[in-house]
Amino acid sequence: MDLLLDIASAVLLLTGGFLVFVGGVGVMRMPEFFTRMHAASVTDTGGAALILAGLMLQGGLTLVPLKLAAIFLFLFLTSPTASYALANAALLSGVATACRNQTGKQLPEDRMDPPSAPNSENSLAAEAPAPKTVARKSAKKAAPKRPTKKAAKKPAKKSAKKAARKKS
Amino acid sequence: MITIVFSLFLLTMLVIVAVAILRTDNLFTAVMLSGIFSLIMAANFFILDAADVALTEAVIGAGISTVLFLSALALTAEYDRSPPVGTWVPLLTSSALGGVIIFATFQAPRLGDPNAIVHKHVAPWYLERTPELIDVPNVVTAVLASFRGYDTLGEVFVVFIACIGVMSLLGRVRPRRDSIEEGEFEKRSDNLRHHLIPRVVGKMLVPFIVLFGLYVQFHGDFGPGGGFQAGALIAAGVILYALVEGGPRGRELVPEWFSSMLVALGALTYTAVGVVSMMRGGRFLDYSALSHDPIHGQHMGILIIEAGVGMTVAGVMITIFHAFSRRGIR
Repeated sequence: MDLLLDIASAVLLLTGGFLVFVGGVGVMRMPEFFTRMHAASVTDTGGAALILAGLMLQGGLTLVPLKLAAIFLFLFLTSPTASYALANAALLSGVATACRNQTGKQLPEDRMDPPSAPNSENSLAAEAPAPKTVARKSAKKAAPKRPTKKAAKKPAKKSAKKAARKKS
Repeated sequence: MITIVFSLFLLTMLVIVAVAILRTDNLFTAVMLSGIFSLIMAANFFILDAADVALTEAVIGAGISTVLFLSALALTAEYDRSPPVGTWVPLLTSSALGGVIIFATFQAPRLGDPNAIVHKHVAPWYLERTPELIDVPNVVTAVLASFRGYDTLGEVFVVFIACIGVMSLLGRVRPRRDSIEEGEFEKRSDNLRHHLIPRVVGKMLVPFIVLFGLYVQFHGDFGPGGGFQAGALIAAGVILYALVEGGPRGRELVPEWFSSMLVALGALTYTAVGVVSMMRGGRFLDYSALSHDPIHGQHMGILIIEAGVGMTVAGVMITIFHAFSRRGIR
């Protein structure tokens, strides 16, 4: 029985560790902000949950699994909230996504539109016929460009704030 | 073995983060990195079995000081304008200092060496006599609150004076409301009210954070914790509320007169315990005189002065945060 528990917890811990590693690789390799966040969320959810479950199995019938469960509950509430806040802040301050990048500049107000807006459909359609290699190249080009765009970001921020004010 | 591997990993991360803080000129990045620095440091303290210090570092270093730095940055610029200084003088100075420190580490005892001077001086006496004289399981609390009560009183007053210093810099100015109409001011203030999800989750967490703070406060005799950590935790709960609901709501929850009164009240409580023990025939901060049974007196004294420490620390954090948030965002 002990051996079985040990094996189960080892499997959980290793899978969790693998997911954390994948998340880390994803944060390094993904082309732009939102996909990077998506990769990081693998660490937040899958990785953390599996590692905590593995540790719970190691804890046995003590207070330890209960404390770990409390930590899990805390993470379960806070990490999606943090991800949401991060993504929202990025959206409002106008961090460019890879696919929008190629269609020229867009105002943050446009980004607030639901995905079914004709605007975004057009952009996707415009993108589709482009060969894959070109898309990749431009995505790579866009990544190192971002820090130099600071000047361009600032007015975007202001208008985003205005938009938020209008909403509230 | 595994401890050493962990320590090496964490210390390497610490150096990397420190270099990253130096190299970035975006101050927001620097603030977030210094939060990470504190978190790694807390993990490091935990590996060294210093749970009390680890808790303090995690709460104050990674939590509250990050928020205070961000509030300060809301008042200033986002980018660092490095002053035009020649690179040679600072480089030489810091390498000379680094060399001295590295030279000094050769003299330092090895990690966990039982023959190190710190383990030979008064520490064995504290460990030996704590069960007999004070009878609390957590020797750290016994040393901090009773054996070294004078030092802790000094620390509380350092925090108190630091608060006075910050308040005299930031002042209690009212923002110029006359130039901005009322509704506009509310919108420009630092709230997250239109962000529903952080607001709901943040408000849900506040009571648990405060509850945990109270647990740490009153469990300090038995486990890691005490007034410093608890005060910071409770302040973190209040600050979280103020962050998600906006500064004005936070000031309604804990008014400024209350938080600044708490600062003075905590320091006063601590000093009063000392004075009362003098009046009952003991020496200043000699808790044994507080009750007929010396050990009971010690317990009582530790409980009260920890409460005083907690009040001061929580009051200082909340007062400073209020002072920042009152200024609003430019």
